Amino acid sequence: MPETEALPFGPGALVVVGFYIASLLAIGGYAYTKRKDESLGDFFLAGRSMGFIVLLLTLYATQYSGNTFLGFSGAAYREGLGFILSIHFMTAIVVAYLLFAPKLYRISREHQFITPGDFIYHRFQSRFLCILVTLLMVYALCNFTLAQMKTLGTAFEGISQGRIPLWVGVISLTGVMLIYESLGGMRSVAWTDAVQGGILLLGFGILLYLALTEIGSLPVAISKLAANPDTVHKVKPPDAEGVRRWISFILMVGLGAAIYPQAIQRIYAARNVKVLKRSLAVMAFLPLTTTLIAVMIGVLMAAQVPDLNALVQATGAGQTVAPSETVFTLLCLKVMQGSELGYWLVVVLFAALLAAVMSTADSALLSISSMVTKDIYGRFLCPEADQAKLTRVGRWATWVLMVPIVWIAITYEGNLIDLLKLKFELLIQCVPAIYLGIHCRWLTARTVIVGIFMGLLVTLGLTWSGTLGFSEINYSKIWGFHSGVIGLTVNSLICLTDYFRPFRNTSA
Amino acid sequence: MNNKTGAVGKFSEDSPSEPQFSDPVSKPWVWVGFGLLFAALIPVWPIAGSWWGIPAWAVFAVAASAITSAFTAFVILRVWRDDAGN
Repeated sequence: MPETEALPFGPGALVVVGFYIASLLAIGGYAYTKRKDESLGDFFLAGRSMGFIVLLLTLYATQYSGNTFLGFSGAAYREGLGFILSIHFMTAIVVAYLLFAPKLYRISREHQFITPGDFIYHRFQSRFLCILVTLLMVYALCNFTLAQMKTLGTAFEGISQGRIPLWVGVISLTGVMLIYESLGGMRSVAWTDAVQGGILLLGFGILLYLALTEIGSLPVAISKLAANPDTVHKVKPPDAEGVRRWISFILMVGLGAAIYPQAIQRIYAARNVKVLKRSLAVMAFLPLTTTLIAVMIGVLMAAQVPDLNALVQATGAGQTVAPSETVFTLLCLKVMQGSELGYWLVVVLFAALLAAVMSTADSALLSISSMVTKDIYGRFLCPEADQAKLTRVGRWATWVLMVPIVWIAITYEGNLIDLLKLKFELLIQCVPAIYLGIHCRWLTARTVIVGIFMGLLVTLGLTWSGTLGFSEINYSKIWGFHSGVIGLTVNSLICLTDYFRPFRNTSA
Repeated sequence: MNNKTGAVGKFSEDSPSEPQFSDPVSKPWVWVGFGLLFAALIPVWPIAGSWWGIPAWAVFAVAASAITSAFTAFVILRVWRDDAGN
């Protein structure tokens, strides 16, 4: 394993990780004893009884993934202060909740929703629209889970210094997740998320401490970057196209991540509105304690190790990850070699990374399982199934669905990755159905369906225009705006035409 | 209820006989507040120099983000009201 990816963890670190994993299984077992009945509400929404601390930490652990550690610090290394953008788009997610959560929470209580598809069906009374939105969401979540699985295997491979191959890490940690998830459903996931969220908060606190003590101050790093012609762009504000890219990112991630099914299901699962409001209010500040730290790490490391590409090439790394995304690992390596305390701080940090990945993956997995069970099996394949049967199917679905995802995570490295990059671009085509659907009674199912298809057509058409031979290159962005945002604009304009229909239905 | 908004559910916003529900989306000043804050987030303002050794535009963007967080929390806690949901 390349030096920039491998960290010199000893047996003590593996014991800590082993203890952490055992505690997850114990929580799963405890959650199993706390189940109230064999119902979908109990299994997939923890009986709609989540309190403030658990809801806050599960929202936090679900929203901040392994990508926040590795991807965000790597992007900040590449882009410098320009990646402050990530603080904005993570804040925008909480603002986006405000656009639909107050009404959605209320309606979900009245009609006992389990999945986002339940809302879509209730609002539009269209099976086709329900299945269309569900499929887009399942696609986005499978993509999300797949990325987490890959990171999980890489992290485990790193912590064991390559003694445990990637496939063993992926399969064994997935097995752990499946066991605790099957035992207690959302209750297990939320409680393990609470533990994982706590570790994650601690991890970012440690990361901030390490950054400031081991690498140096931000003003010094910035003056270093400004003095070097190769890195001066990392301290300058974005140009006009960069600004448009900021706007596009804020819209795409803000609107898209708020309607992730696992996020919507946490809104359904809150014990009461007070708990939900307090949790979301605290969430509004967490980009400042999480994303900002990742950005600082990237900027500090950019000044400390300005030519990471050359370093990575010299050590033979970079075949599996982008050189800039080894920034986090490089910092860990430096700290570990500094002192005994540093070593153990990095062990906790790696536990936090595992926690970030597992908590995101298990939440996504449970959501996929709920949508397949309730929206596809329960609504189409076996409408007469009772709650107990659906809950059993939900448990099995989790295992069955995980097989192809794990298999792809271990084996597939082809063009699928290009498709996976389209996660948000496709998911945000569901935005009008939810954001407009909840407020605008004039919006009809037929128009939303047409809007989604046109949005997808524009998004995929632009993204693959070069591949399909319509242009010389693929346009994943135009004028700084992502193809998905352009697709969403077309989609939303189509939906707005319903407002101007002469005989639109305005009755309750 | 307004005919153009509030599509789903039978919510009464000010009826004394029913639990009170207030949706931030229906308050124009909330939209104006978020509009101004999101404009402040975007680094298009002519802010030169550096504050505390950090480029002023970056400090301004992070400060705007902190104010957006505070405003969001305020709207969630004070403007969004749902007596029935408790």
